[in-house]
Amino acid sequence: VVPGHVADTAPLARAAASDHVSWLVFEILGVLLGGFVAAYTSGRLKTEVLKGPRIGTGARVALALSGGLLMGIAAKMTRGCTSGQALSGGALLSVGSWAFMFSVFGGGYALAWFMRREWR
Amino acid sequence: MTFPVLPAHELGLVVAVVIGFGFGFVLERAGFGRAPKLAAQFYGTDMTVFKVMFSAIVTAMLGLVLASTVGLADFKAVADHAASATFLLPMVAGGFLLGAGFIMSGYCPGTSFVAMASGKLDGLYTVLGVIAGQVAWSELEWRPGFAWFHNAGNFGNYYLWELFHLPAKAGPVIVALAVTAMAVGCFLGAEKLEKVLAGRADPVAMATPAGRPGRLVFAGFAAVVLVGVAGLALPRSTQARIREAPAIGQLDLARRVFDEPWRLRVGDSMNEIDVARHSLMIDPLLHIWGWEIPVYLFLGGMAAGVMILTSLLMMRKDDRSPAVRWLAFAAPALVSVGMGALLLDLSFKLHAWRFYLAFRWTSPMSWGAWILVVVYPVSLALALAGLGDQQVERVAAFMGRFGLGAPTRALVAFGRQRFAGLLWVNLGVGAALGVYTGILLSTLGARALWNSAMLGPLFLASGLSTGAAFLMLFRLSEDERHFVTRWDKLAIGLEVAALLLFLAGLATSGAASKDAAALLLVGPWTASFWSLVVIAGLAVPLLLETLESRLQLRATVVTPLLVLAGGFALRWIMVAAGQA
Repeated sequence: VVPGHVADTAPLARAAASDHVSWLVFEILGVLLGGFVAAYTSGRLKTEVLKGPRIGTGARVALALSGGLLMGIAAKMTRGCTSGQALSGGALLSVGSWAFMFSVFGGGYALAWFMRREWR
Repeated sequence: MTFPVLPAHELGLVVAVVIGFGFGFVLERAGFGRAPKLAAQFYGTDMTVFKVMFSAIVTAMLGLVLASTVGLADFKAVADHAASATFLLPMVAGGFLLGAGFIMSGYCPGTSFVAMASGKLDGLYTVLGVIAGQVAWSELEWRPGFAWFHNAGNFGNYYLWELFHLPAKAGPVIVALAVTAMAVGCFLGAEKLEKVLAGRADPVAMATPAGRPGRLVFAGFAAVVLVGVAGLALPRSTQARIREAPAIGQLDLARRVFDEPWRLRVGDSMNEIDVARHSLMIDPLLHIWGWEIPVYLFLGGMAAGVMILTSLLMMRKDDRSPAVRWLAFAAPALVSVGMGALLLDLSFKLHAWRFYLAFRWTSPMSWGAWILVVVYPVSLALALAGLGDQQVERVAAFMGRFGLGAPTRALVAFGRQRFAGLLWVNLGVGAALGVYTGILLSTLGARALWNSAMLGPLFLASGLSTGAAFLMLFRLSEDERHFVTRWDKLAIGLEVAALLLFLAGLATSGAASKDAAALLLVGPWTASFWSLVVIAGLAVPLLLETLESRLQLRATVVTPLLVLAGGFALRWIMVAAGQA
């Protein structure tokens, strides 16, 4: 769910800011704070680029950006991301959520072999 | 009770911040803020994410099924609320796309935010991509040629038990048991896979960094998901209830004011008449202060904090870091910038000097004008006197270019001679400046929100805290940083106490004050006030500062930045809500 609605707050998106959207904006504020506190208190707070040993920083960042782009489009298409659609919807036994979840793993495994240089 | 109807929607937003905090914390501690760990799912070397996902789904599902069998909840009703309708084609296509994006970026949209928060640049770029992608698809989805696809395969709210033609009553239970069995199977399979692949395990894949992996994290994660599902239902149901409240006409409202004031709701008063004089007929210009006043109050408070703390730092001992010596000049600089903002706000800028022609000792504006005048000589003399000899030479040489070398040296000599006294004067003037920034608002008693004696102490405490945060942004010595951090913790504690007294005072006074308190407690400013000021600006920095010394962590610039943002939000909200 989370970022699936952030775009709606952008002025160019035609959707008026719904209650749900503002809920998510505030939740993201919490996620950022929580993630920061957790990283800081466990000594993992560091400005860095995480990647496998066989890929350059530039390529990793480019892949991260384009992967994000794909996910952004996908999350709008599917009305939710892994958290909102797969987790919440999956627990509620929605057919669409389960179809989505299997597709995510399908897509991931299908591309994993081609992406192995990025991670391994 | 005159207390207004509770717009739980605003409270729901505060709950959202708290749930989000838990979500972000658990995700990061589970290692889900690190791309290599997430990507490992797709190589079978570390199936933690996979397992956690299924645990969360099963826990939330079983909880809901259980609750609905004993009659606490209606599974289908909750599902209709929280789950989105099924659009089979875009969901499958989007699923593949999301999976592809997942393995490319190493994050899912939610975890990329956690990665960003912990400083991972790849996470930041993923977030940027996600936002750009969503905006792009929002632009496209309704256009001809895309719209049919976006809405293709619409089954409405369609559930697994309907897919298998199970009865509506027993269906969810049967499917839930089947899903649980499948999840257990997958779990065992995943562990087997991990073991098989352990031989050629990835050298960079890391174990779950939290000391105790497994159960605790799973439980936390599942709990968060469950609370989240419950929370999803919250804002909607309350929204509906608010809509049910009927609008009220002017005449009826007026009658109600006289006959049954206890039945007034905040919504009524904001629209038409208001017992707090928020009426066009009484105070014609309601929103007369823009951004300039909050900026002025913020910088003034910060300068006050800097003055108090530099005095305290100078009282301690003689060897100070160069940063602290130079930072004594920050107070007059900050005041100058703030006065610049204030000058922009004045309609008759050339008349500003008239403030100084007459001194009315009952007028805080008059007091403030004179306090500001005193701030300059006192803080400058102390700052100069606090410099080392070489530094004085540099300043004197610089001022000499403007023909001010001799006066500078004279001021230094004077300051050094009266150093001890000057320290206390500086401290006092700083405290007066801090209190004045709050009193300035509270003299305008017509604004019910500002009609409180606690505003002075509140703004002083907040000013002290933001002043400490400002100092922490610079390179202090280890010892000085500890000192300033301790003062900041004290200031935050005082600020919380002042806030509580302020709100309690308003909430237990007359109806106008209650309405004013309601603006922050259960009104339109609740969400921003509690999440930006109380949680992000007070609670989290206090937590970070406490843990920093307890766990002996390296100081982070984020803590002071949060304090500063919270301090600014406090002034902004107080000024804006007071004029609402």
